[in-house]
Amino acid sequence: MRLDLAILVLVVTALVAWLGWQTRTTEPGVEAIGLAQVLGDAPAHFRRVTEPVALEFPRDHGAHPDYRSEWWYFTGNFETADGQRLGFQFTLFRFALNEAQTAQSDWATDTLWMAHLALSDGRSRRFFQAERFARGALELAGATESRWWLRDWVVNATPSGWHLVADGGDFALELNLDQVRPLVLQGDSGYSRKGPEPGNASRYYSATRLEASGRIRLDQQWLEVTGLAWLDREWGSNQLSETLAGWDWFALHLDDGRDLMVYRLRDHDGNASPWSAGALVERDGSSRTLQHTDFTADALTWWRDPDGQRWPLSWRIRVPDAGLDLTTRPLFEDQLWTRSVRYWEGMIDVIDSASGQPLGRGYTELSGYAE
Amino acid sequence: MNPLLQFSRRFLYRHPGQLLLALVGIAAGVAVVTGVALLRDVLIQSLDLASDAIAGRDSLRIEHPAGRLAESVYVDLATRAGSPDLVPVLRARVRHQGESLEILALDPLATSTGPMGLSGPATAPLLGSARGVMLSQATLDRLQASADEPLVVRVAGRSATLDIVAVLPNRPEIDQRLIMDLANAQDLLNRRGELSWIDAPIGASAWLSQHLPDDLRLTSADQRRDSAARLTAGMRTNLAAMSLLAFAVGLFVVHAVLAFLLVQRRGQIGMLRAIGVTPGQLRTVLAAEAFVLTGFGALLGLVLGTVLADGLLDLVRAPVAEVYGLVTAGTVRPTLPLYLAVWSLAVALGLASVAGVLRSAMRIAPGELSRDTDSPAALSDRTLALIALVLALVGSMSLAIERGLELALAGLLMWLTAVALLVPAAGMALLAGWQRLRPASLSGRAVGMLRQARTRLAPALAALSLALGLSVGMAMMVLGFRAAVDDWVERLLRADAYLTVSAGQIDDDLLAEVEAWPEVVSISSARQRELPDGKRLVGFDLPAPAWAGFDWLAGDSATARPDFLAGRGALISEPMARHGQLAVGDSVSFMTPGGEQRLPVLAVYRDYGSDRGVIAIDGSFYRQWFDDRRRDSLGLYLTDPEASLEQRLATLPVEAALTTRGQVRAQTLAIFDRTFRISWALALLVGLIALVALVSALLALGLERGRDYATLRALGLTRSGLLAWVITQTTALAAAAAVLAIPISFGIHATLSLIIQPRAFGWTVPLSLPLTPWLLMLPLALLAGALAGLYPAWSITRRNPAPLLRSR
Amino acid sequence: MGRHFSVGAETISILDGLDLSLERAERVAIMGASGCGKTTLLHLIAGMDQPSQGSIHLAGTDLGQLAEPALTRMRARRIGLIFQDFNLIDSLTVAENITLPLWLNRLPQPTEFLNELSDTLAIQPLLDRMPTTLSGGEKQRVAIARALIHRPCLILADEPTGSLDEATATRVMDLFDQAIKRSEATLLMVTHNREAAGLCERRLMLRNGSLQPAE
Repeated sequence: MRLDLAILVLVVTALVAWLGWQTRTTEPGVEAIGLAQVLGDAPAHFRRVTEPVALEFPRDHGAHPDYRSEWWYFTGNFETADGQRLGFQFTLFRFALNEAQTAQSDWATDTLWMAHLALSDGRSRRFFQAERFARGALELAGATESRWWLRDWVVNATPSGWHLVADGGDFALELNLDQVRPLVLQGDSGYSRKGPEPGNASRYYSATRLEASGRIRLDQQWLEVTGLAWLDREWGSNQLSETLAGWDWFALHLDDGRDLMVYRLRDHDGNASPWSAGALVERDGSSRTLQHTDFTADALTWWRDPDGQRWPLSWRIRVPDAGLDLTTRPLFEDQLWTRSVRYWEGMIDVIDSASGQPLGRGYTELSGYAE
Repeated sequence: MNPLLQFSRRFLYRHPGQLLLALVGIAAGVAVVTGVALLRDVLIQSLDLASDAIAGRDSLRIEHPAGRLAESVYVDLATRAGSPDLVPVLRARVRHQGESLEILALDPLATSTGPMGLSGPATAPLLGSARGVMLSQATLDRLQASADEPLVVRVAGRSATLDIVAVLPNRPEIDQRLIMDLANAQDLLNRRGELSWIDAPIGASAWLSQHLPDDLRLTSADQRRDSAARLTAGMRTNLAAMSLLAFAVGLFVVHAVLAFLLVQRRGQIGMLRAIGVTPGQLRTVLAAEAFVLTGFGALLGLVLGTVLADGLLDLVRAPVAEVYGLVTAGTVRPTLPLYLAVWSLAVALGLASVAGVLRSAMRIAPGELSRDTDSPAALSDRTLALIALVLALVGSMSLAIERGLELALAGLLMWLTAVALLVPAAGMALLAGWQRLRPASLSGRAVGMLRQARTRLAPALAALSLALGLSVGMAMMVLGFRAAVDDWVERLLRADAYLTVSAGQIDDDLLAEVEAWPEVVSISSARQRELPDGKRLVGFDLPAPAWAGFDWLAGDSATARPDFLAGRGALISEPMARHGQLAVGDSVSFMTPGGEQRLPVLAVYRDYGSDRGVIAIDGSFYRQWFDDRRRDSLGLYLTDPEASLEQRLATLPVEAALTTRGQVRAQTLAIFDRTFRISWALALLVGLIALVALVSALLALGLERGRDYATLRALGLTRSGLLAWVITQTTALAAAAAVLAIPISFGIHATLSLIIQPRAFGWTVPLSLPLTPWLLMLPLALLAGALAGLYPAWSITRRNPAPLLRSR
Repeated sequence: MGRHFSVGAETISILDGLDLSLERAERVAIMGASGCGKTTLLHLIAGMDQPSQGSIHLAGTDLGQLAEPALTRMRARRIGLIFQDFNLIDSLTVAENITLPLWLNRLPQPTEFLNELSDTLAIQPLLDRMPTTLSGGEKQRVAIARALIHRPCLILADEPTGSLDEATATRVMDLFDQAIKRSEATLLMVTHNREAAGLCERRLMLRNGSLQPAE
């Protein structure tokens, strides 16, 4: 009796299991990719950045389709009248396809556009992110001298700078970004070397201080905000050499009126590459390039994300010649991008390493930790 | 160990044949129901799964009434402030070695979530390969193709070579679909600037209702599923009816077996009652027995049905693609709720079917030790006849009510039930007649013995008659329908030859060239367009002989012709007239790019080409209203019907083909035959289950009458004599069932042809009396009867009669 | 017909002119011609049949006042039944058949009493066999064990030797005699076998619907 009962239970279990197996559904998984992958290994027909050339504006605000990749990168810190801290990021990426489509179709394209829009709310410690793609066809996305857009996320040039409108669903931004300092040409007149090989370089310029004002929609409410923003522009082909794993980038608005940008290129062992660099902008708008020997950046504390990946969120940055010994601290930890590219991009506070006095605000970008 | 459970278990083990038959009966019935239920899901749900995959569950779809829309619509919407993630889609049907597939082209960059699980840079291979497609592993396997080799398909009348750039994980949503980049697809299909529709997420309805241009409409997933459901309603109804019948026959088997198992134990149950087992205890153990049997059998049935569904799906996919133009998923998609529903239904009905048996067990008096009494029929013949009469009356009324397919089917089911109630009595009367004719012969005596076991045999006899009647009735309907379609095609095809081109469409230049051929007297042409509601609109150019090919069902064709040619009215097909309740003089309307056109109905013609209905207008007005000068095909009327045009064909600038009348007719009938393969398959399954019913009833009878058989043997009947005796009984039973099935089959044939077909499909089928099914079925039924007797006969003759006689 | 039995205080009485008192362990045989209603009488006493008139009392309870399943439980507890045709349950072993009444009465399975009965009835070696493999005499001894196992106060036996040949019948009745003595139950046996009736202290004749002492 026991035996045949056991057999019956076994057979029933097997049948039910089989039926259960039939009803399974598979959900598509979205593959995350690393930016470093996209930024290396461009086919030979793309132009390389190999030497300084004179940049010309507004012409060079527009796209440079001969190069493999390019971006328009805004970050900024805001405050509302009642002291609520908010941070934003809007980035338009352009990637050229290895081969242009030749189809007889208006949709045929040689370019893939990606836009990232993020909002950090310092009060509720929430991070909102929205990602979009478009092909470079039918005017769905593009960048001219005066207009950078992906569908209805649009940056228009204004007499004093730029105007950004973007709606990420949960949140939206309408910002005036007024340029109050001259453009900073990074590296050697905008020729920014990232590695030993010819072509391991990009064109790189920044508008380091944009006086921002406008409104931000959060939880169905429009908030009036003011603050400071930063624009980075960069393009190139094959700019990252294979020896690099990623970078740590800091853009800081110091309360004394100076702007500091440093990036630390990392090799696969986590050590700083000699091609790391930066720039220091004085109150009068004059700037000087920082070589890797001019500064140090050391991780202080690490944060473990829900997937178990560790990210260095707090740093000590020293620029001895400028008399700076700074510590950066994120406003909150989870400002992690989890869409098709995984990176940390968030609003930070800057304090004096010795006294702990606040010295300014800024943005940090950490890339290459999740691969 | 509970001795009552032991009592039940050991008894079942001692009758493994019965146990097996009960399991087979319920499993087979449930299998057919499960299979068809899964098919039903495919025929409704999978047609819309593509949008699920693209824009999420229950997504919205933006369509143009004319069936296609300009890509500028998408660009305009997608770049407006606050625009949701919209996905432009272009669809085309392609074929690969007889498999119908669908190219589903989209802009893979259009949504942030990434359609099909692709996102951003991961889509680069799709964009980068001009003829690149992605498909699921299951589809690849079904095409027997390799991911490393190019895939050659027929698309838009020509052959194209596609490259497989990625194989996606299996998901029913993308089954039978080739995912392609929109730019590459527009190029491949030569449809630059054109989209089939735009998908939008469910949350976008508020925004869209504000911003959608007036000439576009928004359909919900439910609406699309409804329209797919309407499109395939006729086919599904047919399948559902067949599956329910199979299930009913399966229930007969369960009932027969359980009733037998009870009768076998009458004495023992009486004994148990005498020593103090309460009716409640008895009910519990017998109900548990029935529950385990039906529950386990139904579980087996679910598994079998899931396997069966894939086989049935193969029979359904081709006709659904050919007749309805729909690409269905290649695999069924079972869900837990569906399994649970079928299982619960099966167990509930199984237990209900044995409720009577249980009640009669409860009635066994303590100490009632005899086991030979045939349990008295629960209802008298007179009561049965009364119930049958009421059922038949109500059934007739539901059939008579003019509209409503469900009502008609319910009516048919009531009729069948009424017949099932009467069949046993009629069958017994038949057997009695036989016995009176030849009272002294072996067959007369054997049949006489059958009549003693009437309650035992009634379910099997009813099941067998119904199954035979239904199989034959269906076959008669299909053959009659086939003959009607043949006549219709024969009459409709007036031209000597039909010209089609590989590019799919014939333009004005080509038409002019063909018109110039000296052999050509006149030309007819047709251009067909699918309207968004599933109806078809045809622009006909009809010279007088082509006009004469129509079979007019209403309206005066002589006066209709000048009005038709002058664009003063439209012709409609019979299904259109029936679905829209339209008569001559009413008006029909349809959307054109220039707005709505409304025309009076001039005449109604017979048509089996579309069960959604066709509106026919004169070709010149079609070309004007739709700004579409192309033709799908040309009918050529020649000076000499035998003239060879091969050389002329070669002079044409495009690849063209001529099809003769006979070939078109053969193709039509081939499609017809493929469409009805599923009906044949189901009829066969029903027949098989009926056979199981017969065998189980006869086996029960054999075991139950063991003493009588033993007595016969003791009295000197030889083993072979007994074999003949038993086989005579089974054959007589099959013969009685077959004879009774004749009127049933005629009734079913007539009901299907005259009532169900018009309501399901909208067309009438002239009634004919094809008798071939009977010529096949009668000998088959008798053979089945004889074969069905073999096992019981063997098991009976094998037994030693002595112990059976002694133990009393 | 007004019959009145009572097995309260170990007495059975029949109205309609005859009172019958049975002491504990008293044994009564009812004889009569075939078809005179002997079996019906047993069925009435066992509560398997309803009297058209009158009432039957068993252990102080009026059976007519009991409904199913109380009637069945009463039968299971108080009565042991032995049939002419043995009527063992074919799908249960001999041991299972015998202990079935214990299970029905939710009584513990007493190996001691089972052993005692098996010894007395000489069926110890048969316990694990199936009923279909037994001879008639063996079957009837098993049926006797089944009727006694739960110590009912009343044993009803319906022609217990009817299906047996004379020699076997004698042997079975001997064993039955011993077993019934040990069990101290009251016995009411319907038989037309004089030898079997000879085991009983009292013999009654059922004739024309009424009971009279046999000579």
